[in-house]
Amino acid sequence: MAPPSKARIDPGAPTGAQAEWPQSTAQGFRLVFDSGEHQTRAALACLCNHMQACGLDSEVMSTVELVVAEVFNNITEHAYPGVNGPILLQVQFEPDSVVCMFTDSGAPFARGAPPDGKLIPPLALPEGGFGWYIIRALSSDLDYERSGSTNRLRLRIRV
Amino acid sequence: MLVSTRQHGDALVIQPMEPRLDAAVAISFKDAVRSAVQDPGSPVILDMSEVDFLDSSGLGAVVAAMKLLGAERPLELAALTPAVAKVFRLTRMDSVFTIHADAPPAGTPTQRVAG
Repeated sequence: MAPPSKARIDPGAPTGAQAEWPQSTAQGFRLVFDSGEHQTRAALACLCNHMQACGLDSEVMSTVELVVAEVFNNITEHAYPGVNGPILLQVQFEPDSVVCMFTDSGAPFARGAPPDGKLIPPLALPEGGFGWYIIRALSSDLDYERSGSTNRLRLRIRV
Repeated sequence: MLVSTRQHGDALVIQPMEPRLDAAVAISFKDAVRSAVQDPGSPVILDMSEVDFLDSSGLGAVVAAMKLLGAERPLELAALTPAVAKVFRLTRMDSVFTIHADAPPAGTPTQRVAG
């Protein structure tokens, strides 16, 4: 399978960059990483460095890290199966929340929308399916848009 | 992944020497546990003191380890760090494990690599 075109990521992601040198401002920052399990680790380390530099407290940081990890895992597994495609993460600080926006040019959600993420009863001993439950439990105002060949997911984490 | 094992009374203690249990290491964690539980001891206590990040894949791998052991040999957890405890609480998986606040004291560990 041909790798997805990096040029299709919008808005304004540079092409071909595996790890763009992040631009950080008081209002937030943006990072571009390729999908993949190991790339996700690098992205999260970078994300945490930035949040620390921006003075977020450790409780908020660990929540944002977990939510971003789950979204990246999901994009790796379902949007870019078998390939490493680019993901643009934009993080914006608002007075009462951290807003995360994810843009990728992989496959859309199978049902056209993110999964409901219902909690599987613990006694069923599920080995998977926790991801969207965790994302939805820790965030609000989740919004998904498919436009052309681009997925945009936006969510808010209350501080 | 490197895990360290030790005996504590009747229990077998397994300690992942890894700061992150995530999608990148879920499979090698399962392999390491599968290999480590060939040592005798029950219950099996997973000492999580070195793990400061757990995602849904890591959680799934811990559940898989519990199922691998079966009902005769319960898997218990110890020394969850705050971010890890939060994932267990959030998913209510804290209700299916016996969770000890502290890890059993270290004796003479056997290090092993698997996966």
